[in-house]
Amino acid sequence: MSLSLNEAEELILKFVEKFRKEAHSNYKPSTRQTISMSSLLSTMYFKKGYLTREDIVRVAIVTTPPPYQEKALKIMSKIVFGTEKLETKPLLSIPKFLPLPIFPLSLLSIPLGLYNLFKPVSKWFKFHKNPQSLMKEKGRYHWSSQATSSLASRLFNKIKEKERLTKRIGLELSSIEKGQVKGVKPRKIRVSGKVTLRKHGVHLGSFLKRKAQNTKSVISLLTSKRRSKIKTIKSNYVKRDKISKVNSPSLEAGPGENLLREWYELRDMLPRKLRKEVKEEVKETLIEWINVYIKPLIGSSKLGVLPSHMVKPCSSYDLLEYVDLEETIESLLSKCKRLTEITYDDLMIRVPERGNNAVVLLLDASGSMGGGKLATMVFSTITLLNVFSKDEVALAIFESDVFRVKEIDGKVEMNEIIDTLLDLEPLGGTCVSRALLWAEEQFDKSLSDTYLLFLLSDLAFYDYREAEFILHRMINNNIRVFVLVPIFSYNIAMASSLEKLGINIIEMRNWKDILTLLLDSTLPM
Amino acid sequence: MSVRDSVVERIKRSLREAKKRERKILIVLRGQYKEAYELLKDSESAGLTPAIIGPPGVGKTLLCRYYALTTKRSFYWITLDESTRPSHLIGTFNPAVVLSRGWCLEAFEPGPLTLAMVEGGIFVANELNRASEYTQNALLEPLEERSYYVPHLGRIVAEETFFFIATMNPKELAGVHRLSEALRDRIHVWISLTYPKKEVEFEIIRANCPEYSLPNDILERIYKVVDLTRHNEQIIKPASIRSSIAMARLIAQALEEGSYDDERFVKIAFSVLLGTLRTKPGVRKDLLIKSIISEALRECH
Repeated sequence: MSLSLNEAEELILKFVEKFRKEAHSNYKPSTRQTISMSSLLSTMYFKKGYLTREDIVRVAIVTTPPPYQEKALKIMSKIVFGTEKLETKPLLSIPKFLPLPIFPLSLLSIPLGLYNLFKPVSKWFKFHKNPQSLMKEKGRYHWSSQATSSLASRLFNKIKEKERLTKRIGLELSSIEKGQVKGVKPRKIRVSGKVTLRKHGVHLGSFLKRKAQNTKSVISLLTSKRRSKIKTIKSNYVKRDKISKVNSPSLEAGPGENLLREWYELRDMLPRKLRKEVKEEVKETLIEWINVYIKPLIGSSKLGVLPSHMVKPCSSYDLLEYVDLEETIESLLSKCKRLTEITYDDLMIRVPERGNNAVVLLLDASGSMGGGKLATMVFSTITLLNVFSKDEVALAIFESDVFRVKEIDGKVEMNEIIDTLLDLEPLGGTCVSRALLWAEEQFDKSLSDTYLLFLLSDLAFYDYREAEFILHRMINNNIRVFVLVPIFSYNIAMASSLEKLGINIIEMRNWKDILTLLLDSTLPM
Repeated sequence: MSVRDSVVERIKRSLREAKKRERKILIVLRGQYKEAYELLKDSESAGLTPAIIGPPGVGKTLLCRYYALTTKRSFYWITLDESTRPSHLIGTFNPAVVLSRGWCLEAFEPGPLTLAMVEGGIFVANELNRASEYTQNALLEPLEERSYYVPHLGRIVAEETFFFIATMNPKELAGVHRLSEALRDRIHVWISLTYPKKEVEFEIIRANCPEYSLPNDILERIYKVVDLTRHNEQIIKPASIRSSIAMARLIAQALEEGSYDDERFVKIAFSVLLGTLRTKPGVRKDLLIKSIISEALRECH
């Protein structure tokens, strides 16, 4: 069926309005998008002479940026093909006027109609009678009013939101509990508003809350936009499920480490699709964290991380604004040149601040680094990678083997690195010597003046003798070595013997310590 | 003829050859490529700025080049990264000439964007989301106003036929190098290109191996290997169409020499994939490739 341009424009406006009202979307179509949609449809109309409903859906998709195209497809399809109406339409309704010939049929419809009328009321009544017990009745989930475990409650809400997935997820979770799913460890952890770590006999939520009592939430310090988004999601859930605000579990991500830590703790129990979604969420938070906190640190000589300022001869594409007059005059005088004889080489330009450090990061991902330790170290790794982003940086992950994530002369997107780090599984032994040999190779490749090695580990090394030998050689070759250890669990004996070699041992209490370390210039450069 | 003269002559010949080659573009305009081409046309007619998004090696730049060729316009492109500055796009003043002759037009060396604007050509910004925010902001004015203010010279206005196309890698869209909100809002049409369907990929391979005749079963095998890499979760960067073409050409050569058998196929596929694939850390690339090739062979038998 073909549509007129006016009809198409009405649909566009409806689409934009509906998309803007979407609570769970970061993206809101702008006026520019509305105009683009209209222009594109007009072009199509004048080219073909008609417009189809498919054309309108296609235009809605192509004018929306890729991460939100699926959402655009859903919204526009609902508007154009009317699936929205079909959903709300009752299956059987009672007609206002019952004509005689259909009387027997209408009699049949009354019980069903009554059922339809009472269904939402009974559901509401049941739910509000005791929200916790409702979940107990269903057997699988337990909704606690005191739950503070953010990720778990968000996961729960996600599960609730995706009704079509609920049954499958429930099945998978129950089978994980029973240890039926192949390749998944039978861990006795329940995914619910209140997550129980049976091993420690405490609630993960309250445990983390205690841990993070004095720690400000990363999210609360992030942009107000994100905060308001989370609040909106929360209030929508509150409204939709008619849960009293006091009793509803927190949807806030909590401290950044908390979120990352919960990811490492709980990811194995999530169904693949949900896991992917949560991973994206964690990744997005990390990237925002980088943008808010770390970017201002990059290239700031005041903070003492990246001191650099140099002058070099001009090349054709360098801007004149960078010419250092004093240096140029100096250069001209030394060459006794006239203005008419000047060439590019005579002009000295300031090179924008650029680091001159070669930094190698070695992250321990052995079995002993599970849970919170890994989360703190991953945070520190991401921070260091970003702070030294203008320098030569290499990153490897080691356990029994060495996995090269980024070579010193290679180029890997931060997005990919974060992806890799979020997929880390703490497994295997700790053989650091091979990683150290790789680090030496990287320093050999580098052209920088300063060499820095950051070893992020709990020092539970199997090959201490070899490692000590290589580290000693590194120190003799003017490589500064920093070992970042998690304060609550590391090999103190090994740390003290490393200290004797002249290595700086830095104890990390939590994720914030790396920032303090960089901001307070405690890192002796 | 001196050595320098002969070098100059060779360069001239090479430039002439390059111009000739620009007129020939091998493209299979079917399926998603046809749709993308039509969308490019529609976007231009509607005065909208498009961006083509797709993994490396799906033919984004080729499509833009083909579009420029069919619409008979000059084609300029630049691949952006963090070190690209606005002067690389707009152009710069030659400091030496400025010092000797002042801020005159002769001292200005235009960049590819300025050239495309004044010639009314097509400008492709490859990997746009890799550019720093400083460089991204420099594009706002040409996109919105179709003009650019060059200090000391004045405002340069784009010709009516000037058309800006951006290309991007989908993975990086969610990454740290995100497009600024302002620039994202000025890109109106987002065209997605993925790896083509089997039939289209066969045609692309054939078009790129015109001197060989490749039987269908060989193409099936190649496609199977390549397709398996595209669906393997351990692989971050799968095999592109370029890899398929490379494999096809090597196999065709082996066929001509009469040395083609299963073992040779495995060797060729292995050597092509070893350099192209990027796997997740902790994955032994060589073992993974071998398992993929043997799975493909098993399925094809």
